[in-house]
Amino acid sequence: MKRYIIKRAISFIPVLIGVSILCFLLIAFSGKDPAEVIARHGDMNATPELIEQVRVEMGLDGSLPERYLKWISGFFTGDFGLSITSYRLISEDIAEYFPITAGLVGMSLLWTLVLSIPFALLCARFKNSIFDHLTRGITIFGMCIPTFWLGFMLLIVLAVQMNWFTVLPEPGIKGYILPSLALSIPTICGIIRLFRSSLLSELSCDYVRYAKARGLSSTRILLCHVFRNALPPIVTVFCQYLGTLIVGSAVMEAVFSIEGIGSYLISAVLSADSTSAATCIVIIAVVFIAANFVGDMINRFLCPWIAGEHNDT
Amino acid sequence: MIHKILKNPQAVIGLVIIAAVLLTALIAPLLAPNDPEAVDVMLKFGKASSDYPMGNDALGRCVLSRLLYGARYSMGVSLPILGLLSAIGLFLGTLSVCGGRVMNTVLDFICDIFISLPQLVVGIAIIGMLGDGFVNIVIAIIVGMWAWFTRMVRAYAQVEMGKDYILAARISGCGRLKLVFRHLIPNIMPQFIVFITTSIATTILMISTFAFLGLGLPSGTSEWGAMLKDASSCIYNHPEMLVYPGVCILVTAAGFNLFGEALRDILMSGEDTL
Repeated sequence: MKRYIIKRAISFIPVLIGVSILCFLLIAFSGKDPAEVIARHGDMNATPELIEQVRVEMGLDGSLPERYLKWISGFFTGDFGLSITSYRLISEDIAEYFPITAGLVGMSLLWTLVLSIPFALLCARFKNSIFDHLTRGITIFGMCIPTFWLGFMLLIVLAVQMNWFTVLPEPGIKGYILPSLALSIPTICGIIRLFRSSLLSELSCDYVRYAKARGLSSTRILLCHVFRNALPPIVTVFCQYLGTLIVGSAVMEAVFSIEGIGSYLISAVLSADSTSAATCIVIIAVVFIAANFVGDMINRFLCPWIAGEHNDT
Repeated sequence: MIHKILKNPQAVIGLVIIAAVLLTALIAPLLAPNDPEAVDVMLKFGKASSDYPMGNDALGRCVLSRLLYGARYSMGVSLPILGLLSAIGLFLGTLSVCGGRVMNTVLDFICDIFISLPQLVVGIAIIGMLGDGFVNIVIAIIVGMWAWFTRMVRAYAQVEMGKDYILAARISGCGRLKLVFRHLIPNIMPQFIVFITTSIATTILMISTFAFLGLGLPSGTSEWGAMLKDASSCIYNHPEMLVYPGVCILVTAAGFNLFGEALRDILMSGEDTL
């Protein structure tokens, strides 16, 4: 187990290096000269000499590999340089915006856990009942709801008409309720469907028949025996959604006028602030890879017998 | 096969929605009562009338016409994307299975890199680099999604390659190209078509998301996501403007999803449908 963890962790290093090189090339070929933008910020009529001076000051005069090493070392020292949109240190921006998005995503994950598992269990327990059919019908549409539209609908009904919430974000946890709910609905619907079919395929296994023969009730079999065995695909997907949710939160942040890392990334892209953008993208990729890794570990912990199957493939 | 599809109500509903949207996209100019781009400020937020069946938007443009033309953007961008993605996926996926060990490792590594970047992020970055435009949206979504298609084809192909009929074909002297085109691809097609159909829903949502974020399309385009963005400023006075485009996106995406999932049930009944 320990050896496996170390092996997996090491195997992520080349992928991360690849991701960072890809992002860096994006900076290098974005066509906008950061030195010129910063020089012109201080002085509209910046002379070429001044721009050149800024370039040297910011260490942008080196060759591509040199600049890459400088930028990548930022992930260890915390110094990514200056953002050309906010004129602050990129690390400061990220430190300010990241917790907001993390809160939003965290709350969405909480909604997902709380809402999807009971529904899936009920669907599997009462297979082909009206409840099951209804849930399946609703979830297939729910998976296709554009989150930004759902966000607006929630705002229209709950904020504009009912006045339970405000359209502009409220301080504290209340401001997160609507965006996180809108963000998580498609995820919830997807997970309900997946978990239901995972539970059903487990329910057709021999050990379930044996448990039935022993006289255990269906509910008990479902909760005590099948539940755990049906979890691995859900854990995998759940962890995969994490990265998607961070980016999806960019959309929610635009709808609910929240300032988080997602909207920061988009505004950085729109204003060609490629250093900030690439830094954000690498951070999101790190979170994504880490989440997949954690999901993998949870699965091995839940069902150690997967390990054997996994090594074969 | 067709008989089985027609007997499945979910598949029929999905097909009807898909056909309706495709037809709307094709004959939008005939259906639309007005020019979707014609601005008439006098008619700002005009009520529904015989000339404008669903009223007018903030610039006095006909809402119904804009919604109908929106189908063109949705279909016209997502279908070419899916065509290209399928071709790329089939080519690289089979190449990685049949092209030897080095090819497999290299492709797998590149896929790993792209898969660890969420699709929307890649898309946003590409549009940021290339600028607005239809072709750029297509490129952005393809760069964001090709690795998933390649992975899928590779996974399907790996399962098929282990089967006896491939071995039999090899023993009887079947060349590598012929093996891929005559045996491998036809046999992974059913699963791949299911994957493609459900991916269309994802692509439609992604295009609207780009348009909503103001990436890729010029402002004022009658794309559904862009219409939502334009309408978001009048959430207090005219919330109904926000409802229509979202319903269009939802129904279109759901049509493909319904059909795709029903197709999966039909094709893979008896197998593990996870």
